Amino acid sequence: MRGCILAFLLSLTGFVAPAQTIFPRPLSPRTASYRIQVKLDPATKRLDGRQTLTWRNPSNDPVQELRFHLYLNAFRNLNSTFMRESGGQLRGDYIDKDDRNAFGWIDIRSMQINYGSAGRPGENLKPRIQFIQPDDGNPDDRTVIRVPLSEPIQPGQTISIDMDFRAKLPEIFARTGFSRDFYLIGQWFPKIGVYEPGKNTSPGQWNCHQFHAHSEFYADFGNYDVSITTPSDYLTGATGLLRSEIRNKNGTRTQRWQAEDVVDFAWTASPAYREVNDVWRRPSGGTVAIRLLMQPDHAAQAQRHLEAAKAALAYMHKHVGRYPYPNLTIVDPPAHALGAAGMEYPTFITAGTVWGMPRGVRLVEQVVIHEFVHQYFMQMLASNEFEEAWLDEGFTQYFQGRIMDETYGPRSSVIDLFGYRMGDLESSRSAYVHIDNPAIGPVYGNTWQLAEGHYGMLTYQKTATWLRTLEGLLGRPLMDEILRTYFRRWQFRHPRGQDFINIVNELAPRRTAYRYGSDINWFFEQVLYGDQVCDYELYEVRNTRKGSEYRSTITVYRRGDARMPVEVLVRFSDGKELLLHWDGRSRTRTFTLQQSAEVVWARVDPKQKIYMDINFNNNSYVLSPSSAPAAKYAAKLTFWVQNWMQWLAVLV
Amino acid sequence: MQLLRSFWLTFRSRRVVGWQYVSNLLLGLLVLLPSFSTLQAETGQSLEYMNLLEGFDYSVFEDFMQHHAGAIRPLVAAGRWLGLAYLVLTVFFTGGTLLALHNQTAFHPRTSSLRKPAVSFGAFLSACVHYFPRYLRLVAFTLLLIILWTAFILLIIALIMGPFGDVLNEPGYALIAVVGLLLIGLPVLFILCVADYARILMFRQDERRALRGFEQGWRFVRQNIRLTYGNALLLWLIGAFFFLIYLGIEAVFPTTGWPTILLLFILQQAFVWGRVFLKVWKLATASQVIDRVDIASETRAQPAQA
Repeated sequence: MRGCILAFLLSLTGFVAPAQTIFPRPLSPRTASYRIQVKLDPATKRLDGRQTLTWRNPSNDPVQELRFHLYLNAFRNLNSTFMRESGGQLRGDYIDKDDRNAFGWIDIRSMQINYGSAGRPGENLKPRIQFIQPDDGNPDDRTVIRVPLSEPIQPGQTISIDMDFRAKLPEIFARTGFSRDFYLIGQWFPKIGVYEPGKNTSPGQWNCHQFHAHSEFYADFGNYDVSITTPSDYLTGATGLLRSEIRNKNGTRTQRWQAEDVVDFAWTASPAYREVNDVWRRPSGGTVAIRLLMQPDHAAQAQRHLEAAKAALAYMHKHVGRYPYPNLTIVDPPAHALGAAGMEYPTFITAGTVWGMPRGVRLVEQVVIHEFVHQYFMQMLASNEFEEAWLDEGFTQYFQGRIMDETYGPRSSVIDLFGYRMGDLESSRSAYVHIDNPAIGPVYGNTWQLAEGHYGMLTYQKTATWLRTLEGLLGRPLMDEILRTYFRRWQFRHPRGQDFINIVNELAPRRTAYRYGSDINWFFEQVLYGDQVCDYELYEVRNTRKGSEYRSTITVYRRGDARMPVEVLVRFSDGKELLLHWDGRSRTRTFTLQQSAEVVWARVDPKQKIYMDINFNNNSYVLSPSSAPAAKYAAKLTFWVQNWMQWLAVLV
Repeated sequence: MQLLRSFWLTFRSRRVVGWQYVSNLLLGLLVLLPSFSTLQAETGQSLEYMNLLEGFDYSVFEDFMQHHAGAIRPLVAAGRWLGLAYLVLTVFFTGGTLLALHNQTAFHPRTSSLRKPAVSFGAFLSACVHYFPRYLRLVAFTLLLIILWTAFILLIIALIMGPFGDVLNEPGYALIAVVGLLLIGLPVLFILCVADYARILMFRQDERRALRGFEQGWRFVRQNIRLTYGNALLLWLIGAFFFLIYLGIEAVFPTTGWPTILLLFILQQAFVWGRVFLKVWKLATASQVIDRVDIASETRAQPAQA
């Protein structure tokens, strides 16, 4: 009874009161908004949900049908496109094929559309639901549905759809699901696709892809009002802000969460969490509340998470733009649920660490920074992750490298342990340039159609490396201006890769006095749409005495098929240096110099601007090389061989 | 006290330590000289490798490995085989080493001032050849025991982890890993300690049967666990401690040019020499312990004879 009275009082004070707003005016078009009530049953690992979707036709076409993602059906059986592509294995996580409880699914139990006309009853759409497979025609894939309408939705018209759904969570796989009493619940509700308006005379169409092993998501902005019911001893975190909470009589509690101008909604629940709170103050005013949901075993690493999050907030604010949301939730999954680690949702990210992680191994910081940067490249700049994954993952990887290297040291930001050091950007470069065949394929393309087994390298590391190369060519200030412009123009919209290229072409030629031509397309044709490999080599230096002067020749080779403008730095025996320029187009270039001093060494691309050069070590040529490095490493190798001999000899 | 006495005994046998170290160094040189030439040739005229001189440069190192790993691979393979060669060589040296240690102790343990002259190289080699087959069999048996014990413990851990894997937290996993390591490591050290005592007993009793020798060694170590296993553990700890010290020094050692590289090389070789010394010291300690136990048992036996 007391519970009922409390619920009644709460309902008067806010729980069912008109929603408070987070932003005084909309930041986004708010095309698709959801009001959801969901209940988690830990015994059955099921979700029972009811949602009302409010959707506005953003195009100039009458829309004849609706399309929805049912992402959880990717885990329905081994025949889904996701499972076929992944082979039941993703990022080292395996689904237990013999355990029925390891699988997950979602069913729509009812669907009714309301066209918004006064007095008109809702129309039952359930019988019209059809599973479709727009990407691969796999009849066993149930991750996309199409719902034909009896009456088209007119341009600008807003409709609402009521749906009841039931979902079974998979055992943590591809970031979502359960593991023991830990729940990370993402991609969990029926989610409408993106209706993309047509261009010129072509009609608009739905962009609603199947769930693939190596694809993420694409969604419209909207508001979310989500009431989550869990056992009352569970601590919950979610996208957006917690607005109210009531304790129910049956040992559960219901929390109402609100988010505005976001593209998705995810949440977590676990009785094990330890909560840590902190605040980051924006230089321009206001604060961002940071909430950590830590595993008790990782409590000692809370400060590392906070420092990394604050470093990322400050860096992105300064170099790209404002993070407008009032909060950020960071979830630390347990070691038995690391499949849920390293994932981004609006204002809500998952990190990932293990007990006893040494301070000199900054994987914690790396993942926090990476997932936070996605708040810009994925959330605010809501690009299509199915078709242009490089636009969010690559840009995020690039900024992760910049933030890590600036915060923790350029050559030691990721690892600094027992004299072994590794920076972040250089680790991205290494992952790309050191694969067997760096020309494996272009970065551009649907993620599930990229070169087999190279999705990660192409979208993350290669893109980060060519972005660093673009920065090298244009300079950091111009690169930041381009990225700020890109963010300012496209935030809370759906940019395509070409939109970014257009901004580069708009700003770069003028700012560089047309040094690289009237546009920069030649660069993107090679690094994004092409598979060219870059390798410049300083092949030879020769000096010939001519009277009181020296005639020196410096020969540079272009070994790869990528063509980049490069500089060549020449050092003379009198200590003077000379910087030469080459457009890098021909296969070889020989510079001839007549100077009073002989050339001691020369180096192509001395500042490593062309960061995607696959071999920095052949970039220089010195006439009298020191053999000391060879001696040092020969001694080290010998020492370890001697130790190896002695380790075996302990048997005697 | 026992350890100190055996330390001096080892010190007096420094020629034998020297011969074993030289054999290790000579095998090492089989890697050092070609690796220096290979690295020099592969690094060519590039300036970038200077970045590896003062510290470590991930990009330079990884670029090198990507483009020149093929040249390094045979050297590493050679190193692997050298390990096996050195293992056989160490088995071979055992007889000579025990002869040298035996000569450095007294004719009778109670009159330790009387010593035989230092063992000649010829006598050393002759003892090496004489005892080689029996010690090779002993090593094979020791290795078999270690493999069986390790497999047994891993099986036990797997059986424990099966039902409890889902309820353990991360420190719990770490604890099981540490306990597992100890359950493997400590008995393995015990087996190695038994093998050391078996070697000495086989030497003194001219026992050819490895199994019989191991059995005697086992009985002796079990009856004198503190003196035998305790001393052996202490010597292992000393070795591990110096290894950590070396790693710490190497991490901060500034190799800016030839003089400092030479200094590093000397430091490395001093460490290797120390490990050889430690190995002989371990045998010397075992020898001393056996002497001491013999004296004690003889002393107890004398009144009865009277």
